[in-house]
Amino acid sequence: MNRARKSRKTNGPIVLTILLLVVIGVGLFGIHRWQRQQDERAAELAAAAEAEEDYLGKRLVLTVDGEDYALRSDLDTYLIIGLDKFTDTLSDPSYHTNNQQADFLFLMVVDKTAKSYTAIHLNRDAMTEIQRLGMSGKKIGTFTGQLALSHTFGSGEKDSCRNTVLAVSRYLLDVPVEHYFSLTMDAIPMLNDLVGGVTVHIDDDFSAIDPSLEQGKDVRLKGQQALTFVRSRHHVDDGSNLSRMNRQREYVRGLYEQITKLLQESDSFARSLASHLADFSVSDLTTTDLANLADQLKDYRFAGIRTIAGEAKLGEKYIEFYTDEDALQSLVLDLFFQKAKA
Amino acid sequence: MKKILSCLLAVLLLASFSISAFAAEVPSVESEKQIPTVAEAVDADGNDVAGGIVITDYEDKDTLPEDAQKQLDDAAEALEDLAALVEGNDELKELLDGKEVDCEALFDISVVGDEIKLPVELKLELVNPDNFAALLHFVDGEATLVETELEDGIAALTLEEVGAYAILSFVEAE
Repeated sequence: MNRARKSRKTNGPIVLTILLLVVIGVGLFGIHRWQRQQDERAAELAAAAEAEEDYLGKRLVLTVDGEDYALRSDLDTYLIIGLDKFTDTLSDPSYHTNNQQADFLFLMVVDKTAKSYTAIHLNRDAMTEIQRLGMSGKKIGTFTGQLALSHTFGSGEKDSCRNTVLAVSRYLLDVPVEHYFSLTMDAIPMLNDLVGGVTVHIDDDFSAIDPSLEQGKDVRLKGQQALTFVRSRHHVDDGSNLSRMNRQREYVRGLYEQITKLLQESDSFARSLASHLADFSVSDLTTTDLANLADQLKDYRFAGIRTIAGEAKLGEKYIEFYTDEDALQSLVLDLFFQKAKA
Repeated sequence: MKKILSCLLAVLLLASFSISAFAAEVPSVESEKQIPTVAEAVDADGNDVAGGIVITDYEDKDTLPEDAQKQLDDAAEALEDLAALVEGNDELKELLDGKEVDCEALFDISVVGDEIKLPVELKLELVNPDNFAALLHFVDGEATLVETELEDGIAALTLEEVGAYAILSFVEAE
């Protein structure tokens, strides 16, 4: 008994020392880990800051007619890119096989002070400086070409989106474009089916393409029919772009109504729409980013769609859109800059 | 989630409004990669054979015979680790002298018709001549440096063999 007590007395400091060592060890490990995390975080922040400085550095101040304008810091920008390809053609995304173009380009500018957001509809044929990327995504030159081509460089995924972002930024006098969201064409039949179909009136003659789209009747479009309805031009009616654009507007109105109705009726539809969209999009936005954006936008006013004037000309082979420099500068100043304080 | 969806809806709406842009006027630009084009081709007898030299982008490899496709695939695989490829090729390494390069284009060069005999003195019009670094020929994934002379955006070379070729370009600062 005594021995045991003595033994306990003898072991006590040893156990305590071991415990202390363990605690110190764990503590040191924790500090080391914390320090490492801090270092990593600091490196990330430094890299981000450096990137931002590089990115924004060129146009923090714009001088027009002797007046200095400062880049506003209360804006967020989101580039929406519509691609001319389908998801199933992108099964093996790679530099060598990517031939996607940015077929429609919208830049959404969120003004946090005015609590509003504006969309700039960019002409896909607008001529601007585009960065040429190599197979590894490194810059191997620049050329002047249609904005739509910027997405052709890279693998067709995030690197191509970033190249498009850069081209749009350059086009808009180097204003920052912070985020991107790209969608492939097959989002249309997917959305169509997800909302249970969209009813449209068939004005045009689709008999050569899809006889189920009977001229003069109201048809609830299903799956591929939706894409046929909004995309087809050749062999449909007069084959004009104008009639197709009318169809597209009619379809969009119907789709919008269906989505709004379903969002109000069902909580699960929201989740379903979000998950389905993910299959057809490439974005740098996380769910948290989207949630934050949604938080912002719920009380914001939509300030409309802006376009930039210019002239479309037939170039050597293709349409080239030459932007009116004054109109571009005016829009950029209006949306992105404010008079610098003296 | 509803908040997220309201955001997505806004995004969708914007995208939807812009569907009209699908209807771009013809002829809107087509995607073009950066393969060179034949500027001149002369065979050993001095005949102009430019019309018989066909350059096919890797993207369109399906149009090529099986063996040519395989050569391109092997080249593409080798180019994935460009640093190792440069390191393993003394001639190329010496030429590049430590400068960073990236692959600009991968393509097949073939001849049409039996009357064209190799070698052919070939002049290629480059897409991005300012940053041209090297032209490589690949056989079973092994790269050989092709001697070229560059002048006014045209690369002159002696085409000894048909098959897979790649252009390396110098990397520019961002």
